[in-house]
Amino acid sequence: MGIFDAINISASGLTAQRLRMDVITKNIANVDTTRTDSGLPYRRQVAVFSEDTGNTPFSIFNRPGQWFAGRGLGGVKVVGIRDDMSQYRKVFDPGHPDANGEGYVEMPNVDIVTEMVNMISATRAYEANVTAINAAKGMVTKALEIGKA
Amino acid sequence: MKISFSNAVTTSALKPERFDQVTGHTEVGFGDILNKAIKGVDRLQKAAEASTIALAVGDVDNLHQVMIDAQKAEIALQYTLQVRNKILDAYQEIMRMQI
Amino acid sequence: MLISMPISFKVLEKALDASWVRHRVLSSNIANVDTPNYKSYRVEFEEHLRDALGNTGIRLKTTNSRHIGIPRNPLDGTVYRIVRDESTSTRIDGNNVDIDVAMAGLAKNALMYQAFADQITAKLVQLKSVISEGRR
Repeated sequence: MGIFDAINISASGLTAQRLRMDVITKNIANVDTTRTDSGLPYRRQVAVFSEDTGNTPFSIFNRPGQWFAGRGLGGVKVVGIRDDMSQYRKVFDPGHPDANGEGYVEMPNVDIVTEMVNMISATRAYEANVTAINAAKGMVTKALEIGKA
Repeated sequence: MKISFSNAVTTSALKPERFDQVTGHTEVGFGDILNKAIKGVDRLQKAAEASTIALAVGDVDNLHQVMIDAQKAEIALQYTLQVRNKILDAYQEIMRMQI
Repeated sequence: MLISMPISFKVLEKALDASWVRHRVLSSNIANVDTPNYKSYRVEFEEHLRDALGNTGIRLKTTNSRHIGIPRNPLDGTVYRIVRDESTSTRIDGNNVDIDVAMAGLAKNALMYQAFADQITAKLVQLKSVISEGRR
């Protein structure tokens, strides 16, 4: 466990939440996109998070007196951005150029309210990681003053 | 760290540990204390140096341990210097005595 | 150490260690607040320290003046313990990190760390002044 491991972990949290925000804003921007490159309406996207234990040195689990089973205590990483395969919204709008025979248009499966809630959650998580970094900075700065009168 | 004493100083006052038959206690002389102090300082200095290098290399777990080690080494050094000073003062006091 | 440090010094060193690990654990929890199926970790230190200190009070009986009545110091080694919270979560994604608890813990822990550092500095400065008899 290095001095700055905690900060690296918080930084990974910042990156992940920022990416999540990007995906959310993309969803919001495309809430009415009925035509994409593939010809289909826009599909909602979701960032997939996973715990990143790759950088955790094993020495932290091998110290005497430290009971701990399994790996863990790492940061977070985004393993992919996947499509939300739930059904498209059907909206009755016969005048729309993309309406089908019965006058229904398939709209993207993006719900603005859900996206806004997620955006707030991502913002809050982002800020929490920033607070963690500031706390670490305060602690290390204090440690540097040990012994000085 | 090498400190050399003149022969006069290493006579009676600085004899190593000896068992006193009369009082039943083990006598510890100045030399013993100073030796221990020097060894301790050496050990702590080396530990502090190793910590500093580890810090630069990025091999350190936390910062406070490095700082504490450095402080311990400094205290040990000061302590040893004070012991040495006291011994020298005592020696000079004795040498000044008119016989 | 050639000067015997009071036990409170060692306690402070251990407290600093545990507090540092606690920050690391909390950072991990906060970074993973939205990771599916992540279970939060915590550091147990205060209880273990209390136990360790309780044990140090034991003095061995000595019948001969040459017996050494020093018990093995239970403060050697690591006094903290990292525990995983296996409780099931009420969230759909299986994550049981409570971000408010984590944030509060973070603030408190940072303050404690700084308090310990201050305390240890005070002891070191005291020692130094005792050794130099108040002269600089």
